[in-house]
Amino acid sequence: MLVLTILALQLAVAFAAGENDSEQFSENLRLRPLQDGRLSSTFEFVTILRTRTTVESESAFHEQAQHYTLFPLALGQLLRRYAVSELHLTLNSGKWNYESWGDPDYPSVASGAEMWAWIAAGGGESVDQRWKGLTNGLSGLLCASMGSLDKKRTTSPSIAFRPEGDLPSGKSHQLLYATLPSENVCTENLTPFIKMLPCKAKSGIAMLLNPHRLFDADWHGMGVHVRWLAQEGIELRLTFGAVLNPVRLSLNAMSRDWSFRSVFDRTISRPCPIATSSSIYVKLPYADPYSLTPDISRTAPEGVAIYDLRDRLEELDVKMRWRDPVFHFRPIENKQPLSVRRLLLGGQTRADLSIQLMNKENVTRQVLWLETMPWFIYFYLHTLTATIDGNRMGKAPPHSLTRIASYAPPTDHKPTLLECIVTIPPLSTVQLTVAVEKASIAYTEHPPDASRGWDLPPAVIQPLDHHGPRRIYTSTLLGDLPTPDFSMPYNVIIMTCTLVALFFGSIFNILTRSFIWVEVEGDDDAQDLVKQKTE
Amino acid sequence: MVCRAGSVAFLIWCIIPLATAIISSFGGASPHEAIESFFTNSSSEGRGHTNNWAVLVCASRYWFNYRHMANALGMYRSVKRLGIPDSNIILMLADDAACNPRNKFPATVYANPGRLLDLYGENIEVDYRGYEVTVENFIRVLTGRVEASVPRSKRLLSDERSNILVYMTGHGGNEFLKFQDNEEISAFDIADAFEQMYHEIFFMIDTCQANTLYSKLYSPNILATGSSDLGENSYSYENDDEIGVSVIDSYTHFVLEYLEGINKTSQATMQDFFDLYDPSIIKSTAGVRSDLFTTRSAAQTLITDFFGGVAQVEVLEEEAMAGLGVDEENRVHTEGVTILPDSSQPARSPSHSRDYRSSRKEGLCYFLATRSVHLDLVHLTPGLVVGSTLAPSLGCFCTTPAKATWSWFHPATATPFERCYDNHLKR
Amino acid sequence: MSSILTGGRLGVLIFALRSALFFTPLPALLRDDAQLSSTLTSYTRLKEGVYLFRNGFDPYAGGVFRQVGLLVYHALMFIAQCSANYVVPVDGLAAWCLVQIWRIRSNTRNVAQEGLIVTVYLLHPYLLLPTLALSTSTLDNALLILGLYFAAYGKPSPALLILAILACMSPPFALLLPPIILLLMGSPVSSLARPISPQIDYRRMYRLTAEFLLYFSVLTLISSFVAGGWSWTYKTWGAVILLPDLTPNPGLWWYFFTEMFDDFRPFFLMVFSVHLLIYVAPISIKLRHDPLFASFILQGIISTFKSYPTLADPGLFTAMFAIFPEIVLHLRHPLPTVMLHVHAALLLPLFHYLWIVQGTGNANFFYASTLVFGLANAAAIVDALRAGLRIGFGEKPGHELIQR
Repeated sequence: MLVLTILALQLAVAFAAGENDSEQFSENLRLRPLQDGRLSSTFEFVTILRTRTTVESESAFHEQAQHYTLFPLALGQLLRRYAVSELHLTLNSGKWNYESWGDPDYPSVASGAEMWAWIAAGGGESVDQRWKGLTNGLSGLLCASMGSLDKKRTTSPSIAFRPEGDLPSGKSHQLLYATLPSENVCTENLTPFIKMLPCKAKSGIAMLLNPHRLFDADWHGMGVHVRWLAQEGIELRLTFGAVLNPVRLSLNAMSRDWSFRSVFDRTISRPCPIATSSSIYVKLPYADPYSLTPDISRTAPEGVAIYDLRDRLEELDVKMRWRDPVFHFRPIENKQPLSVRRLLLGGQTRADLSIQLMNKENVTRQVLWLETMPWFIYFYLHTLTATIDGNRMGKAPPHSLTRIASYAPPTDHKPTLLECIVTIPPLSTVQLTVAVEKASIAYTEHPPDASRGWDLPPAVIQPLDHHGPRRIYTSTLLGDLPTPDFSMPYNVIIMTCTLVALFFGSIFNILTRSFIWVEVEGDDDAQDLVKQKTE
Repeated sequence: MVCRAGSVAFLIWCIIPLATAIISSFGGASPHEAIESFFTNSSSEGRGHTNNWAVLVCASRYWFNYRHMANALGMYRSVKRLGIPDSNIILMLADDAACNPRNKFPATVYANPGRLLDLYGENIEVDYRGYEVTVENFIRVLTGRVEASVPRSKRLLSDERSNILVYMTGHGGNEFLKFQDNEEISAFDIADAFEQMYHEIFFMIDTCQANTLYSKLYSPNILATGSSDLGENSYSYENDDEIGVSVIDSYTHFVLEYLEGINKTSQATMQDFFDLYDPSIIKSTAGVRSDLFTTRSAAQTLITDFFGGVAQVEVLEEEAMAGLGVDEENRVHTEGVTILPDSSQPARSPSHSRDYRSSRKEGLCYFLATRSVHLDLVHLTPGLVVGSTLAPSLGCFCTTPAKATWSWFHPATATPFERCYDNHLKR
Repeated sequence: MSSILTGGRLGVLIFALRSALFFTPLPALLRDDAQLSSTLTSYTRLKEGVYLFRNGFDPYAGGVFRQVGLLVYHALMFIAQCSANYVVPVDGLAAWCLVQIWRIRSNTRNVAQEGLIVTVYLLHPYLLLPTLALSTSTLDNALLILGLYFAAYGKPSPALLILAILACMSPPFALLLPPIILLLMGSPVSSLARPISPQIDYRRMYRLTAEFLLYFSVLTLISSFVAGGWSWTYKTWGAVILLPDLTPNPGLWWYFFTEMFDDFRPFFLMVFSVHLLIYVAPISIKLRHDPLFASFILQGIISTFKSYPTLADPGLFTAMFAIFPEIVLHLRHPLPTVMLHVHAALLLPLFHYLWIVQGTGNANFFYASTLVFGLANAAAIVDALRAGLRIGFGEKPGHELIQR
């Protein structure tokens, strides 16, 4: 009775004191028409959980009771339970076309699922156990098969990723990184994503999240990014990006005019009441004449139109129309200073992995090439050859262009990890080729659709001089392995054992049976045997 | 969310002293027996389950098995419509049909040619998908032997008052069902997986030679039905020209069409449904196995006992409710609870009502149920016994004239609120 | 032919022919063929191990490099730099040793037979192709022949040292210790026709065994010192027993354990390993009157049933028939055995290519051809053993010798 009174008092106090100051939610939508007629849209929902403790002390994760109003409780429970200080998880589908679309708003555009987290070490549980719990918990939360991100797909790159927030001091953290390129994204992943938003899909920008249109996009990706900022608190960033194609959606009209109604099949009818800022940024095209309705509230410099939803009372349907009713495809201008292409050439056992880095600028660039291949792909590093613009630079490194920063060969079903620093001279193309071997794996290790092959994770290129995009991802590759016959286990056992038994029996007979003479000529009676001792 | 929590605190603050004062004036017999008698009521309407679960499995992979995914999704939509919430449904889809690159209509799965109803919709939770749908995982889910790190949404948290609907579809044969074209589950495995922790199970299979899959069951209280007999194939219903593959199987199409006519208050029984089996419509001989279903017959079992999240409720006399000082506004209705005016019940004997009145005098229990984000508080009086399909409770707080106690349940093994009631009032 | 070409000139001719083959594109094509070089003997993996070692990475951390530590630094760095040229003198040395073994065994000089031995060893396709592929199984064979040479000439220390090196490189060869010790204690002269059980000096046997173990331990310690730890034993010797790498090869283990369910793996690994062990004692005991012949038979058995064979292992067995010409007459079914070998030799590369390179064949085709190959080897071993025992009975006119 008394306990309850105190509890109730505490609750009352906690919630009476301006609860909205401890959590803050803001959302925005960025729209950018692309040069090939498509429309890049990025939804961003940011929840900041301000900690009540002072700035100098540790992350408040581990101290207070978990009572959230805006921050999703399920995610918060997972992060606290598994001591996660920073988490990045993306679920993407499609290949981001850097040449036509430029740099993405969020650099993690790897196909499939990609996840990395900084997990605190110590405290009774190993980091691997925490990672396992975290991946399984997230798989339940987001309805994805992240439970497959086990030690067969998890690595710890040493220099590839840097924390984007602050890591609480006083505890050592370990980075764990895993990818699952064959993961598909569908409505069952969007449903829990929307449930994590304070306003759900009932008001604000999230009203536009229509799965039937988003999953029809040429590229779509969902992201969950959590980081701790010492000055601000815990920041949760939920993002959804989609590259929509108004030209295709307009069917025969071939027009790249777009509006919320035409691309999302929805409009925004009311703002989210608890968002501190809720804006739509539309990048204005500079080449062709266009019109943008409704009239914009204010323009930021650099040609961006801003719609602030908080001071809107009526329904918002942004429409952009070009003067030319029909869109004419133009040759794509590739403005990327650094482009990457990766290929897998070869057969079922021996292959060559080749990566091509093109530098269009007049300065030398240094990039980090990160490869994480599954455990059945063996690298032969002594075959790493580099060519500049077609001229070979000589065989195995170290030579002037590459320096291997870290290499973890595949051991006992752990993936291969290669981090290689590549120097690209100005205005040239560097091609690196390394021979790989695809191992034959056991019957039980093949997936159910073994003939399809395995999806090999994309390579991550990170420019080390910090200008330009933070990461560039290549496409995933499909590696097919020699498959055994899956109908044969018992047959193989029988046949091999038969051969062994035949041989054993023959040798046994020869060694143990005694030799006797049998008279052959004249007497057919088998009883007439003459024994002759030999020894 | 905040206002609710605040009002909850206030509620606790106000109700406790008032209720304790009121009920301390009553005496009483054991409420435990009254509860038990409610559940084991020998009248024809006696239903013993308090929550419903559904395990829906599509065991086939690849685009040309679109119809199997549509089968499972059709059943998913039907049971959701009839009241089973996502937290009580385990949906296993071995492949992705909706966002498959070959699907001309992204994020949709249709079950009829002409594409009238999208089964995928905008609100769907698939618990096991892709390579996770294996025989091992299926058996682990049914037997409850999952690893510690498996999240709650992937566990079958049933208890002995749960009615479970198990629906499986895919390619199969004589006493086996193929999972992902790579492994098989046999009828013996299925029979062994139905061990305990259920009240009744309804096992429905749509594959070729489906009736052989339930031939080896031996656990009690299982009602089973399959789409075709030994030696027979189950056929698909129709193709859709634009999707390019068959979109639904005949048997499941028949079942779903029937369920379209059922709503939460329907009194149609399982026997009514089985009586409608017609081989010329289904194109195969659908079978029923009810010899293990002994506690009651199929004619006494409602369709909604398995397919819906509906529960039985008895409403007591008005004055019993008013005596506690609790009025309508403070009662929070949860999903899946319907109050049936049970006019078909025989009139209660006076001794019964005295028992009930006495039982409610004993104490008051508040139950905390939690779903993924929200915190709901269910206010419950002993006289009003509500069966619901809540996610298992996190904890309960009970007060008696003598004391007030609070207990937490372990999330993985949470028992429903009746247990809490028993536990507290037995002490 | 034998009258025109002496052994020496013949040797030089063949030497030139083989060297010429190295200038064709054939070596590059054969370098990574799984039949000619297994996981434990592959040249490419050797180069990778050396490269990793030189650049400060642990060569035994992954599953690529499975050759023994001693050789990483010393002998094979030299080899890697010399690329192709090492194999040719090594093979020549082995051929010379074979001739010497024959000479001491038969106590005669027969130019024709010696020429035959050299030709068979140097031009045998099963031995020539792995040489072209720079597989270290060629080195294994050469070391074995060298060890037998020293043993035949009664020099215990070199013989045991070489055997210890061989055992370090490839553990199944350690099973040849008993016949080699018997050979050291006995005589290499052919006594198949007069099988007299020799007196065995057990003290000397224990001393020789101890000497071998001493050499073996010292080599292991040196390897651990060079490799910087003991993890290499798990990766190299453990690979022979635990079969972590399932690359297709002409042996019988790989497909068996590819298709095996995980629960039964340990049991069958044990069965297959014990299967190799059980032949050592009976063969050594039954053939103790002619230990050279015993080591020949045992080498055949090991090469057929070891975990990572290449074509060179049964190749050595079939080539060594040339130093036992006395049994050739008593072989009961030489023609079927040879035909089986030809059959297998044609089908193995064909089906391997169809399955792996072209993708139109199935794994079963190649597996079937390995079964035929195994049958061919088994037939050869059984026939040779039977012939060796048969000689001891001589001839009896009007009678036929059978086994009861």
